[in-house]
Amino acid sequence: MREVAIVGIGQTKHSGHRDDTFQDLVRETTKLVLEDAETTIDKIDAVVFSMAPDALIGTVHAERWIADTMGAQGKPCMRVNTGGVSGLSAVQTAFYHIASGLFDTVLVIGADRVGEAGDAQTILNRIWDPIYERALPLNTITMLAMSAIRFMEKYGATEEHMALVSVKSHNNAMLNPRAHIRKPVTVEDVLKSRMIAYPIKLLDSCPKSSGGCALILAAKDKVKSFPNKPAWIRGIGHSSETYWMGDRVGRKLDSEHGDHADSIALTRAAWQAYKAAGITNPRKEIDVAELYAPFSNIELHAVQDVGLCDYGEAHRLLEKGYFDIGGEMPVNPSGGVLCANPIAATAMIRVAEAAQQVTGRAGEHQVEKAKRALATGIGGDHQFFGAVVVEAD
Amino acid sequence: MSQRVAVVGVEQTPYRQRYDTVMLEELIFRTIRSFLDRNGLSMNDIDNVVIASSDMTDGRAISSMVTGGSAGSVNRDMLNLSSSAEHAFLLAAMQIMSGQYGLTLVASWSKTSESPMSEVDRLACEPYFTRRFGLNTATAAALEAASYMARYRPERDSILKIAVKNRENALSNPLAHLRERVGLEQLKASPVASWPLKEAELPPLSDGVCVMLLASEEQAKRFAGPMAWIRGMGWATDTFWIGERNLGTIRSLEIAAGQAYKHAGITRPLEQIDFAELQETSTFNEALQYEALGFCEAGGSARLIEEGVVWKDGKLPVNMSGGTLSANPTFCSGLVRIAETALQVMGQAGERQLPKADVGLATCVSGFASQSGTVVILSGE
Amino acid sequence: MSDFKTMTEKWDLTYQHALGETAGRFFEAIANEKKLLGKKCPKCSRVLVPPRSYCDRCFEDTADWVEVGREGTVQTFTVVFQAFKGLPEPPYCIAYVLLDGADTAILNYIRNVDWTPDNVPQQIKAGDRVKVVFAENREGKITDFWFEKIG
Repeated sequence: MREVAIVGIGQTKHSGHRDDTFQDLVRETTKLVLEDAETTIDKIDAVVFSMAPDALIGTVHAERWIADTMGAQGKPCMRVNTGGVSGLSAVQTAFYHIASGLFDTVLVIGADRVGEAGDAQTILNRIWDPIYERALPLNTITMLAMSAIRFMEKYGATEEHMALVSVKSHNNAMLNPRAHIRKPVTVEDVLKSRMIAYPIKLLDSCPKSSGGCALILAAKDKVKSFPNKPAWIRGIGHSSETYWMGDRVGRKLDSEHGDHADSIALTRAAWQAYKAAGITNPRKEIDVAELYAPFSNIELHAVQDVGLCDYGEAHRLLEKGYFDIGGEMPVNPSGGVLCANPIAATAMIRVAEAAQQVTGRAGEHQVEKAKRALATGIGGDHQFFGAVVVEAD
Repeated sequence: MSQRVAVVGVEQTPYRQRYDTVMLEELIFRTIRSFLDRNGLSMNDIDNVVIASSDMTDGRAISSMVTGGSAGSVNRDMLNLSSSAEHAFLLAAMQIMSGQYGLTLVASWSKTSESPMSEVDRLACEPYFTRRFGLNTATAAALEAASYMARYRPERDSILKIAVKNRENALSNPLAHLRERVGLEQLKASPVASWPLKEAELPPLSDGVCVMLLASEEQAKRFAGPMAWIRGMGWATDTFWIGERNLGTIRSLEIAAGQAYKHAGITRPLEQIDFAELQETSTFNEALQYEALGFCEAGGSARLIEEGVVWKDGKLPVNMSGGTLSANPTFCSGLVRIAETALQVMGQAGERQLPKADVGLATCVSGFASQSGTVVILSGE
Repeated sequence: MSDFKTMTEKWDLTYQHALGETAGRFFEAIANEKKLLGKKCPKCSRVLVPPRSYCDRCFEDTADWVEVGREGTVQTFTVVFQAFKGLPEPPYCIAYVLLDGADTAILNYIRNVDWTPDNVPQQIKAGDRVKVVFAENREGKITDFWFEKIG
């Protein structure tokens, strides 16, 4: 397969409400990535957008509006929408543009102003099946709270363990100038914070962020014309579960169809990526992981599902600092989704952070000697999962 | 590195005003399941799925969540494009070309009968400037028509005849939504919908599902019968700002055609292409597309119509399916053009089959006044 | 007069979603017969509740209707304490309940408990038994019933 590398990374400083427009945000993000790769939009062959619900931006088919903003009029453009994993699915889409042989350089971008839509959760209530579930007050928080209940029951993890994830994330974010939330917290702070949907509390939750992320991907033979060390995309994987959360509980869960406490599709996606990357023992061969986790409990199942520790071990290892930046298997050194969640960009940020790590460009939150990293994304109701393995020489 | 890709199967629901006895997901499932059964396949044979869904058309804030399962997403790689259905086709082709997958299902749909389409349309205007003015696909098509008229002053009758042609062709397509002739005099006497366009010069709103199966060279060997190989693909998005465009041309299609022709080695489209399925958003738009594709010089479309070139027995028949004017499942109308092109090349177009259909061209457009355009060229080998 | 900083846009979209035969029958059984129905997949034999006309695991049409019990076991739940615009006044509990005879769980409220953030583990647990309670006036919607704790 034609080899593809990330040769440019652009990421805004993520924040709460911004006074400028969505277009301004896109313009800023585009500028950042073009400057990073020392190139111009003319030299880009195609563009891929990541955008999740139209409703969050306030314009149907907003991608038609922003090609101009980027100076990309006349170029081949398309928009990926897989919910929360859109940013990472878009990176895979861009990868295929190049691996197919049709294009040499592709810019992939995602940006969101979550504050733009008055109440994101009201909109996110509309993602549910209109016939059986929408009349009930589901949203992204309740759906993942229900995962936490199963997880804690299944593995013996507690709310304290969830809090430890939050503490680690917030501490890491102090070393990441781009993170939205940069304020350390203690276990006590988390446990005392407002209960939103049991057992998820305010400090277990991702913020509502505005921000953007963009990457420039290039084919192997074009890589030398870019100044940065390339982060090679060595493996990609993507898989899905049933939409029905009620099917991920109850009876007849099997090796093919898993429990809402975990995610079999995440495991599948990760191993598809590992296999392509020639990885057989991720614990030894992955140096750092940026795992999509919008709530603290999600990080716990994610590390297990991607095979970075045994099932039932995540919370115990967490206690020992195993997943800290200086630990055996650093997870979310950027602070993760808990500290910045501009939805359409979030899963792409995982890839960007992974790429920064392996090319030694992660600044203060750099994991020493990181050469191979895993990035994951989650979308839908814990339904769509994507994984990318990046590597640098 | 670059694998060849074939369309090995197509399935479409008949396009209708409304499918009100089935839920959207059921309609999608049934269509795909019928397709699999007819071809002796099961979902387990499929490597991956690419769907295209419009959240606002479907009334689901992330439509792929609920609809994905009906298209085989469970335990499978499923990607979803929300820009237009033809992009799902393009992505699936690129996945196979890259060598990642060998048998990819592409599906898209629209159940317009359930949705407040004019409002959905209106909300595609960015909020700051254009939304207040009632710009929507019909008015944008009208602006395009008016620009063309002002520039080239074609015979109005010639343009009207495009509607006559497409609606006539639809009589041979059992899947078309509108299957009634429309005469020239009838058209001239009919009221204006959005000046200068008459109602029959604009597409209807239809419900329907369109599914295609793409295969690598290796996987294509499993299928008997002729298939439609992808010879060229091109796509482009022009500026959003209508005021900055020359609406008398379709720049997105010109660019897309340039790319597709280059891949396919086409330099004389009128000679080298046997037929075309064009996603016409109005009669004028179809005329504009002839020009963007280089079938004739700028302003020369009327000649193609009057000389019979684009009619059923002509040198380059356009829209044997009846086109978008006869069936318009809005979001997937573009994919339908590719599907109809494939059917012709594969010799599976039934009553509407052309005797000479070896090299076919499909166009797909989306956005106001064809802001985005895609061209796909398929051939028998 | 504009503040020249922000612009308010409201989305007002009404959709008419076809229910299809399966969902239609399910709601009708609730409204007219106070019955809860599931549908069985002929391939994996799962009784799907709420019923669907196809099994997304097997990609197969479902066939037989199965009446399931009016009692079940809580599989997972959450109790919401935060108000969200357009959603009900907290606190409230929603849970996936496996009704007796079903293989998949159905979502609804658990009502008539005085929920407090510090007492949730004492108030509800996965594994608890609940019963279905039907509304007096039913409209053929999912909110025609809810769950209440047994004992």
